[in-house]
Amino acid sequence: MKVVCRVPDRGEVELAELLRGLVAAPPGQPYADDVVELCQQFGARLMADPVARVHPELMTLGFFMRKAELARGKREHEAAARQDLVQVPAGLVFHVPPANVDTIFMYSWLLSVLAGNTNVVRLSSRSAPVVDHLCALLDELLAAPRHADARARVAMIQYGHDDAITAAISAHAAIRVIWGGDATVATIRRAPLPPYGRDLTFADRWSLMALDAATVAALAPAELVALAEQLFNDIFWFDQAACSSPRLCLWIGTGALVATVRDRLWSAVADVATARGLRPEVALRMARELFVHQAVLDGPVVGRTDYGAALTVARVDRLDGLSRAHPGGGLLFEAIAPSLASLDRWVTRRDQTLTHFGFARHELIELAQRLAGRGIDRLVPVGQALHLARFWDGYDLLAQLVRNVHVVG
Amino acid sequence: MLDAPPFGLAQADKAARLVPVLDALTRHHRASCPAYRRLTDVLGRGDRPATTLAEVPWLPVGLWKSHRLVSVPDDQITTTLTSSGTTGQVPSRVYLDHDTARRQARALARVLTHVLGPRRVPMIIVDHGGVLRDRAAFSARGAGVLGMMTFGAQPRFVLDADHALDRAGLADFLARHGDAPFLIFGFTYMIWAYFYEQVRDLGLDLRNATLIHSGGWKVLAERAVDNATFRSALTAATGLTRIYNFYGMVEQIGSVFLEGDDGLLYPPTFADVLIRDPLTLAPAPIGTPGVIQTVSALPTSYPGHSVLTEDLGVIERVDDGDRRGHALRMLGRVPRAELRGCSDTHAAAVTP
Repeated sequence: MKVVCRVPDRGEVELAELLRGLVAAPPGQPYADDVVELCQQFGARLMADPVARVHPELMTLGFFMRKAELARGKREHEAAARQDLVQVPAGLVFHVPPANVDTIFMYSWLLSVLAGNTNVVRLSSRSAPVVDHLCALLDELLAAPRHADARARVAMIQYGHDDAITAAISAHAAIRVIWGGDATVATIRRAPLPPYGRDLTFADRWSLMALDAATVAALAPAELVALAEQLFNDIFWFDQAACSSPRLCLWIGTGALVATVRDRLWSAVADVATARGLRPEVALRMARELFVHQAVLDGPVVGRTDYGAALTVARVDRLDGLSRAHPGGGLLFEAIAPSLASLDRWVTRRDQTLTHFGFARHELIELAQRLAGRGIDRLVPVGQALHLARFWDGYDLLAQLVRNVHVVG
Repeated sequence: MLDAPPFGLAQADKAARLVPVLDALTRHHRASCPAYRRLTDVLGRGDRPATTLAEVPWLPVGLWKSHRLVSVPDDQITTTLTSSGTTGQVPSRVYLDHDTARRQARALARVLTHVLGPRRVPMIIVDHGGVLRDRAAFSARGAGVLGMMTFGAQPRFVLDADHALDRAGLADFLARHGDAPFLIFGFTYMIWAYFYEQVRDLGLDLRNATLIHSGGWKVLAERAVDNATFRSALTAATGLTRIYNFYGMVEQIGSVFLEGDDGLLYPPTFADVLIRDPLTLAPAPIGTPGVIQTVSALPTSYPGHSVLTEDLGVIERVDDGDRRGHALRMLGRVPRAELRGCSDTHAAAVTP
């Protein structure tokens, strides 16, 4: 069985040979200096990269890998250390990122490489130019003699839908990280792991935002524009099709108050879209139109307003009966509720991220406690919906990717 | 309206006659189809009458794939039409009562006799007889063939189930009928892929034939065959000159746009076409390409009198083409989007 090895750039290779090499690679250590330095170099290159400038998601990745951020991660890691625990790498980690979000494979690899693991990353065979670019950049950095060990511990590979290859890699995996939603999880899970192995799975998720109407109403014009810019990033990156892209805006306040601000805010978001030159794809725009008609027949949609070509806001008069179906590409459901607590009855395990604006920290914590694990694994300020982080989908990814050796002396 | 000459009205006269009819249909469907009433209340103009074609509310064509849209009691439905969706795709379902079916048949006759004349002539069908077999749920292809058979006599199917040409049958037909006017009908891609490709080198004389063809251009576009190529290749190989494409869809059967000698498509008196900007969906000026919306005075059993298609086109001329009214050039389907997202199955689930 052959696969194409992109990082390190070796072209077509025999899978068995590749796996032998990876299994024999010297293990790393959590937050080892050479790996932190590699990530830092990668982040720095990305921040200065002309290609990354036109791909905001790459700038976010670069930000995530910059020196201060990595140092902060290391400090947190060390601060959490216990005298009776030695943290060691989990072993070989097999990553299956989604085909359509170009940067997740890097985040997935990054968190695991910081844990000191050996990593096999499956790249989509229809990979985007952005993926090629990131691979080339990483490959170049790994060529330095200082990174020989790190180089021996990574293989980013491409292969078609071949269950035998997936099974062969899985047979060696201490941890398998499956992104790509329900269908991918179901497919990849057919391949058994070793008895000690386990899966980190990322199911299909749905996300929303909550805005405090009084806070938005009190914003000065420039502040409203700043809020609109954050919302633009949250809504429109990845065509609103990422699991953490907000699809529902829940206003907290009275109908009368919301009526005075909603139009101003959505118009401001549309202005940002215009200023940034966003033009939806025609097929996505048409899909949105069909979806809105279907939603009117199937759910509680009571009105719709278009803000330019980019954004359609569909008002719902209740959350009951609002399904989690969504076409992506610039459609927001909009509802009004008296309090965050009213989400209680509606939220399910499907719901992942709540981006928020205008709430006190204790209100957010109260909501998380009240939901008690029924759903919503992330509450982050507006503008950070798509900032992938160590804490995701209810996991502490870093903690999941290390083993804790208990040493009582 | 069905009695008027199908291409005789100037655009302004036509619109003046059509708008009140379409507006009455909107009111009829609002009163008879609860789904349509809800859609027009939430997304449309509610009770406000339309005063222009552009104000007539439309439904996206994909809605016939996901929802049952009916404006008559179930016991009045006589026929259910389904689109010939390719495997794995959900077909459209269109529900006809006796009146709508009869009106659609009459309408089709008005349009086609415009080029065929009133007399039924012998007919070649570029398909195989099996396409008619499933009478319970008509495929659009079967319905199309059956509908066209009423315009010809002594129909002869010239393909077998594997699309191979029945050369002996074709030769026999031409020996009997080739010296006088006759009709050839088939779906556009079948005419090209299974008829033209198999007869191009046979030296046939089809000068007396009128070719009527319909169906998407997707397969032909993939082979880089446009309408002009299609026409000139058939003329060169067989002498065929009376070639008429028509544009129609299962959601508005009977309301077909017939090609003129200029290669443009013309909606008949009881139908019309508008172009909308594909992003704002606002009416586009004449000469500007966009998404095709079609309106038709025919359907009363389902709310399909105004449909936003997934086809792109441009109105090239008004009242100064081969015929009067809007002259439409088809520009193909809206291209599919490569959807992004964390869920790899997402694109398959929502692409129209």
